[in-house]
Amino acid sequence: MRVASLLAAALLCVAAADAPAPLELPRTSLAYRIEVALDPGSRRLEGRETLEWRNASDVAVASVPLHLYLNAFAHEATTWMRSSDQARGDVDALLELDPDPWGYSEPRSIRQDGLELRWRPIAPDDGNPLDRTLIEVELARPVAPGGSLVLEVEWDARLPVPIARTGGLRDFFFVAQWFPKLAAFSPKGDRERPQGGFNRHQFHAATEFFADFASYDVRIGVPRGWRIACTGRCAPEGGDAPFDWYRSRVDAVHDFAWATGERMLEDVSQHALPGGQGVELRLLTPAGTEDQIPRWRRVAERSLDVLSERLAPYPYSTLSVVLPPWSASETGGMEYPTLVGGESGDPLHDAWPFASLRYPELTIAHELAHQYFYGLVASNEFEDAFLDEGFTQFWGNEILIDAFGDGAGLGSWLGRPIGVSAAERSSLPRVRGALPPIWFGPSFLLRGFDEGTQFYTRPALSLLTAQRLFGRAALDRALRGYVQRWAFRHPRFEDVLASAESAGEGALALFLREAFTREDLPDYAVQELESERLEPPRGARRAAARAARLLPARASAGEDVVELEVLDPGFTRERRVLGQVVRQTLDLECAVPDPRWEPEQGALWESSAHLVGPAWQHLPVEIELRFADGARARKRWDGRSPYLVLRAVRAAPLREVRIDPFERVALDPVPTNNARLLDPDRAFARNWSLWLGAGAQWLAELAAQSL
Amino acid sequence: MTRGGEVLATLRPVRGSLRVTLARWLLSVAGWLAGVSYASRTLASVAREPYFTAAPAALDVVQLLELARRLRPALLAFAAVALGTWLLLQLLTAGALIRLERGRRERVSLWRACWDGGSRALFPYLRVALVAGALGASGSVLLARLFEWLAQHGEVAGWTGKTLARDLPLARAVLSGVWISVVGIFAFWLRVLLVRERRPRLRIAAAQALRLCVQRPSSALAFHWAVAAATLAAQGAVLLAWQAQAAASPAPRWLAVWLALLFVSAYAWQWRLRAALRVLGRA
Repeated sequence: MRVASLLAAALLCVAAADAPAPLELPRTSLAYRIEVALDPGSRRLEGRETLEWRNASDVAVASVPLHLYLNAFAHEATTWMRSSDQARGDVDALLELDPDPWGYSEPRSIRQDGLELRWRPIAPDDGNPLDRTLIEVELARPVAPGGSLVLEVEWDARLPVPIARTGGLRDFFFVAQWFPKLAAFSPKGDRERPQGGFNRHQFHAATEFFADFASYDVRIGVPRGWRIACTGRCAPEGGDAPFDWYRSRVDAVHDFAWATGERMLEDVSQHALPGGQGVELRLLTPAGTEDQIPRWRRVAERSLDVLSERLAPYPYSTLSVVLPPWSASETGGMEYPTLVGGESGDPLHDAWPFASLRYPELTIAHELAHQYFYGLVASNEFEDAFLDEGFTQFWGNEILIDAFGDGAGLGSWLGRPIGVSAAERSSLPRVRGALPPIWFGPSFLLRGFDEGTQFYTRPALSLLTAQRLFGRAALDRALRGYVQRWAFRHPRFEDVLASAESAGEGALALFLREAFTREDLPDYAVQELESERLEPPRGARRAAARAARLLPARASAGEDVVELEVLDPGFTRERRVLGQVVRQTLDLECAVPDPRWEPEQGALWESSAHLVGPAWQHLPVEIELRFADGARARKRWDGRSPYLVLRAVRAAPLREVRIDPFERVALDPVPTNNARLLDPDRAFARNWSLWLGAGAQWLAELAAQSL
Repeated sequence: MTRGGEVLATLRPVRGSLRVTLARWLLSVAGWLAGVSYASRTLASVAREPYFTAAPAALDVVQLLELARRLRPALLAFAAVALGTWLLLQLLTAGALIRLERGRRERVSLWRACWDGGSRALFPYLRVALVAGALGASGSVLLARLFEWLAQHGEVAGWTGKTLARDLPLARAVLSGVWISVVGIFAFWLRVLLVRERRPRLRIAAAQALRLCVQRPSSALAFHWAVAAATLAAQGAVLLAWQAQAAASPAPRWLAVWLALLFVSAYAWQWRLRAALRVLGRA
């Protein structure tokens, strides 16, 4: 009994040691006090803010930059509009919705200690004189190291009609990037800075936002009777016609957003995290979609559980999920601290043929994962977009796999399942040419390449490959260490690698470094597979006869092993590594023989396979050889040479070769060429040919009936 | 005899019906086999890839999309087969109309009728196809514009996503389908009317066809639309069921079902020709 108690206690200790440590909200050197009211008819915001900032650096600050993000939507020639591939189409669509769809943000007054300050727009990224998303405010008195700055700002803003995840129309508004926000301050030594300074960037279409952690005390006036969700918890303060007033106080967040609507429903529930902490979960969704609330609540709770278990307990007491109406769907699919926008709340999600899809769940999981990568680990989204989007994409997929399995995690379409990893992998490009490395930038300068691939898919699949190669526990250790160390700070990719190394996952770090710096995707392929009956060689009579007698020796390895001749040509990196031909003995496992094969007494088969690979340094794969008599062998290839030629002689031909049989290399963009059969599967070819022929004939019949 | 009775009376085969049906069936089978041949050539390499062949159950969405990508090179071949089949169908249609009309009074070889009558009718039939194509396309474009306007209005009015993203596109597809099929019936009547003309005049035949459809909507329009739609729908349903059940049911069973359905479709086509001739008083 005593031994059992001791054992139980020991197990609890081990479990506790494995459980991620809770995060404590830090004190911040920045605070905002804001009061704002929304006029939905004009889409205008009238606001006042008090910004308090303590200079924690060792240099005096004579001017400060403020972000005015809404000015990105002021006209067609802003930096955002110019850098958006779809800007022209977006503007045309906006003008169809409203003849005056534009948004803006304009300070009326900026004061320091009662003195009116001068300010001017700056464009440090592209010199665009027509862009006013960043202004420089000249201080009346410089802020000495350790000193404090208090700015009083009054401003007018107008929200655009829904575009790029902000805006609103008529009876719903998602209010994001709405207040003059101080740019993030990077201390000396960070990002190769010889001195500390602000991170001055304009608003670009390809990237998002970056700011320091702060405490927020925000008072919001919305039209009477409208529902609201916001960063933190919006507590009602009573009405003062024509407004209802709400107030939110929240610490240690780096942004503040809110959403409000007239015909919205609110659902509030309490969720207990795995470690026991409680989170108030608030859902805001359009009226008429009540039946969908349990579906969204389930995925939100699962997201919190998975992230809290594997990374760190969610440290805030509230979380809000807003599903905008269809007319404002452009405002959804976005993350803010303790507040996320999902896909639109709409009866479409219950209607055939969309009801069986889980893309709305994926969006919620993705945005909730952003609470960690961006919300807690606040990387610079201007410069390193992949560092939050790619990591979040990975975790969003993990949450869905945890909840629904991988094979049909995204639901089904017309009865056919959609796999989470398979879908992600299918969006990899199949270009033969070079891609920019994932880790390069700044991200806002990406042109000519797909942002989705660079910021989302490649990093996510790199992490998935790492998980499959090194094990989930290893990746969790690396990323948990990263989150624990860099929560409430501004890390870079080097910090991910350092965290992995600190967690004892040096090999994983090496793989990630390679995956994030390579300019190609790792395509392994079985280029050819042949097998021929081994005949006595032709030649001079006596020599040929001797060779014929020695033939069986080529297959002398035995029944439970196979001797494999491996031609490895070598590779060159900093120096040349010579190739060679080696003979390896591999153990054979027994499986079901090919029913079409009949063994022949005394017959031998010489089989060869030509495999090609991407020649990465840290991406080994397994190769599986399947023989017609059911025997299987596996061998490891370090993948460093560009190709491998395998030869074997056995009493049965080599029927199939598979590279990466367990699909660990999720980054491989062409999974179809990873395996090859010696002979085509006739049943497959026949069945599909018959059906495709019938389908083609039906289409011809359709055309004939129409013409 | 009522008009409905007239149409039903032509369901019973007469001399020449089965020969015409058989010829139509053989043409469909030939088109199908040509499609099978091109598909099998394209699938030769796919059938060596366990990514497809070793899928544990029916291919999932990602695998199907990948398979469709691999089949793209065969699309041109399929289109060529469809064109070839369609051209032969024009000859057969003309020959069948002549055989079914005159076959009750005198011995007429179907093949002779196809050769003589078909070659004479081929050029007018091509013009009919152009007219039908232009009509079908114009109507579809008009419908597209109408629905775009509706969708824009709906966006401004705040309609739901279910209406905008599902109901409107579905309605547009259905209405476009109905329009194209009605144009197809019109083209069918043009062919019936033009086949016996020594100097076929399209405009006169078009006016006649329109008059027929207006004066006898059930036997000239609704009946043909229903039979054509039922035939296509039945074939489409079998294709879907075949694909859904492929893993569980062997191909030969579906082969038999498909061939039988092609025969029924061929008989239905022959029925339509005879019913049309009956409406014109020529059968």
